[in-house]
Amino acid sequence: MATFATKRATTLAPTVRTLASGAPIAPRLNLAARGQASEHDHDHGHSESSRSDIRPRWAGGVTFSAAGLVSKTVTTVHSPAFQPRLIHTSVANKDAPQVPDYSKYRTDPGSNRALSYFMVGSLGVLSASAAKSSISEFLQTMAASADVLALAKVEVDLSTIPEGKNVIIKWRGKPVFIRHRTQSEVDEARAVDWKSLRDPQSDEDRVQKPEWLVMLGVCTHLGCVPIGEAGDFGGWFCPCHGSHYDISGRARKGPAPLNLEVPAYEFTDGDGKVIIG
Amino acid sequence: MLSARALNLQRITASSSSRTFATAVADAASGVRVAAVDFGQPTSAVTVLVKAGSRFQNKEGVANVLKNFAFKSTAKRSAIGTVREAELYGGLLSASLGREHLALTAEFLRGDEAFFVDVLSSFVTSARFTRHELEEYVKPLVESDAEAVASNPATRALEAAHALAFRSGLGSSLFAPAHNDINVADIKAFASSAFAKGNVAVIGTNIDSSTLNKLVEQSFTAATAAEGSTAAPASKYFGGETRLEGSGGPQTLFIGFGAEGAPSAELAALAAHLSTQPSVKWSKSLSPIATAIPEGAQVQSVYLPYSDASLFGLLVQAESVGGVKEAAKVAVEALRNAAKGLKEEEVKGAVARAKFAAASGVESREGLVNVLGAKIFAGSEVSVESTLSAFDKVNAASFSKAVSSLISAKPTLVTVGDSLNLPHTDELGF
Amino acid sequence: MFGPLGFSLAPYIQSSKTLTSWVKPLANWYANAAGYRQYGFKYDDLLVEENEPVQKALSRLTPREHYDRAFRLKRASQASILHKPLEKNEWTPAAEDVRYLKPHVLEVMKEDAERHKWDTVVVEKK
Repeated sequence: MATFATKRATTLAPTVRTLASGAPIAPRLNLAARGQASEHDHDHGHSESSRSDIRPRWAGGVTFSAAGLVSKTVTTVHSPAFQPRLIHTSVANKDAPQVPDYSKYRTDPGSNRALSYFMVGSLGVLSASAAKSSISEFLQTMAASADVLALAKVEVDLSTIPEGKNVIIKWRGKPVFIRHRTQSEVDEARAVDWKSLRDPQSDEDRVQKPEWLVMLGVCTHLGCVPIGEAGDFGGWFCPCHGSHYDISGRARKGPAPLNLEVPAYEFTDGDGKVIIG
Repeated sequence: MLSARALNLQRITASSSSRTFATAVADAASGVRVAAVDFGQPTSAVTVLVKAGSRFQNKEGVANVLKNFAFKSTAKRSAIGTVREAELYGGLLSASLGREHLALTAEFLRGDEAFFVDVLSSFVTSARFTRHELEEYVKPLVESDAEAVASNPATRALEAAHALAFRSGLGSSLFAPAHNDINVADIKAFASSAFAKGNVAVIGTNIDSSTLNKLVEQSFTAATAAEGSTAAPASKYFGGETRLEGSGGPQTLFIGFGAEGAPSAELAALAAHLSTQPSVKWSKSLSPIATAIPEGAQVQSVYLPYSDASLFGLLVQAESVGGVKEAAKVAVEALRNAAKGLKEEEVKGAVARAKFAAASGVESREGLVNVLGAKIFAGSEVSVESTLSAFDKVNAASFSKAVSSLISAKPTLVTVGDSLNLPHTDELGF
Repeated sequence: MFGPLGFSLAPYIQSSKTLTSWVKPLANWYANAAGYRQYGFKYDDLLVEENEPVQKALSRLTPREHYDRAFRLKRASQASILHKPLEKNEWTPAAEDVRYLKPHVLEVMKEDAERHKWDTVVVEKK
């Protein structure tokens, strides 16, 4: 059977006997011998050694019957010998039969359950709280220290400021103007048509109490400090580039684009103190 | 008394219609002969017998290749189609090769006749015999057949005995030589001559004969128009000796004789007389040989009847050469005693055993087909009673006459194993 | 279409005489211009063989066909190294450029399809 598509490499020693066709002869080789059944499992389910070159017995063969010598080939084969399926129950296998009998020493696991759970639970709670507190302490060291927090707010006593006077406080490195405004100044601030201003903002929006005006003393143009009680609108005047602010701190004339900033502040102690920041 | 019993049998068969024998009907259109027997069992079988045994082959091994080519692709179905469809029907397809006939058998459930007769007939009429099927499917089967024989010393001995006894014809081997150059052209030539008119017979078991006739008519109308039937020359017996090298297995010796002419009941009785096969388990048989051979040795009586010749012999096997020598001496002694003459009741016993063997052989499907097949080709009446009635004519005189004329011919001796030390023909006294 | 032989309009064209008479000269010119004949090849030597059906079909060639195929490959490989086609007398004549492998490939594909059909058949009880 010559097929050149698949090459088989065979090297024959020169002493091997060959037929004229070149096929080697192995005269005493018994190809019908079946090997011993091996111990490991057979994946293909052969009951004996699986030789693919020997036809299995149920696929035909030579029979010597009353009719003489007959060579038979079976084309469609029915499955060989019927194999009954048996029900199989394994006996439970004790895994360590040589271990001595400790049944006398065993306790009943249900007898002391409440105490055990209580001890375990309380120790669990204690260790959880210890863990929590150690972690929170470590984390608190990363928070801001007291002196830093103290500088962030400033407290001003308002009873020392008479009416009609400006006070300048330093807060976070910036000047803060506090003016105790008179009633006429308040009216004047509210009488302005604020909608047409460069930065429209009503006076009510800028102050919590009308007589106390608190704002940052930083000109919104380029950051100089405006001078109080100066300018054309009765408020402040920035000397650097000539920005005029009115009695509510709104920019009216000059290069300033926005009104003077109003920080966050709150009154405490009745009317006595204001905390800025 | 024996004939009265036979008459009783016929009356019984006539009354119970479960067992009917149909006489062969030669289908005129295609020349196919049909016979059917119905026993009322649920599975049927149809066998197509073709005179394509190894006797008729023109090239060594072609008959075996043709047998292994059975049920491969035809004009109607491919090989896989045939097998899968047959499996879906639950049928069993097989091909058997004897020296005279090739039997293609399909066994199936009642009711599926149409398909299986079609499968069988399409192989006979329109097999394709493609080159690739020969290389891929058939050659491995042929090789495995040949290897199975090469490792079985008994079969090797019988094949060599036939070759010595009959030379060509019946002497051709059933199996292909190990390295052969058979190609599809050879097979096609052999098939076209073998599947010709008059060479094909169809035998059905458990099938209604009218159904089978109809199906055969439909399927075989397109049968080969080739007229040539494989006519083989009449067999002649020669005899001789050959010694073969063993290939593992027991030391084997076959001593045999051939008889020309139709097989005789006397030789069957002789085979039964010398047979060492016990009827009761775990006992030594009543054979004169069985008690005298050494432990571990086996002697089998071999009787192979063919249509125009038969071969009778004794197959001796033992583990050692000495065992074979002793057993062979015993066997030949028993054979000579049989030739000299046996007592009347011994002959009766042998005849009874032979008759039983013949009758029980018919009970299996293959046996029935063999018996009917032999008769169908000979054109004689197709029934089993005729075989059995031949035994009634055997008596002590005819028995010893037949046996002595048998062993007066030239013996056929085949040894497989240690060729230097196993006995030769003259050492056995022939 | 994605099989080893690829997509082809040839059966459709060959079924009609007029189409054949128009397309055939074009096809002949193309086959000559493709150049494989100048290297001594037949068309089926170029068929992509790195797939299962064609490998099986190759195993069905006769020993002589196998040998010739190997010889043509060897001769063409040498010509390819030299970057020159073969001499004119070694070119494959058009009459010899027969599709020797295509029938085997078609048969193998048909067998595979049939096997698939039998593997996936649905059996109903009447």
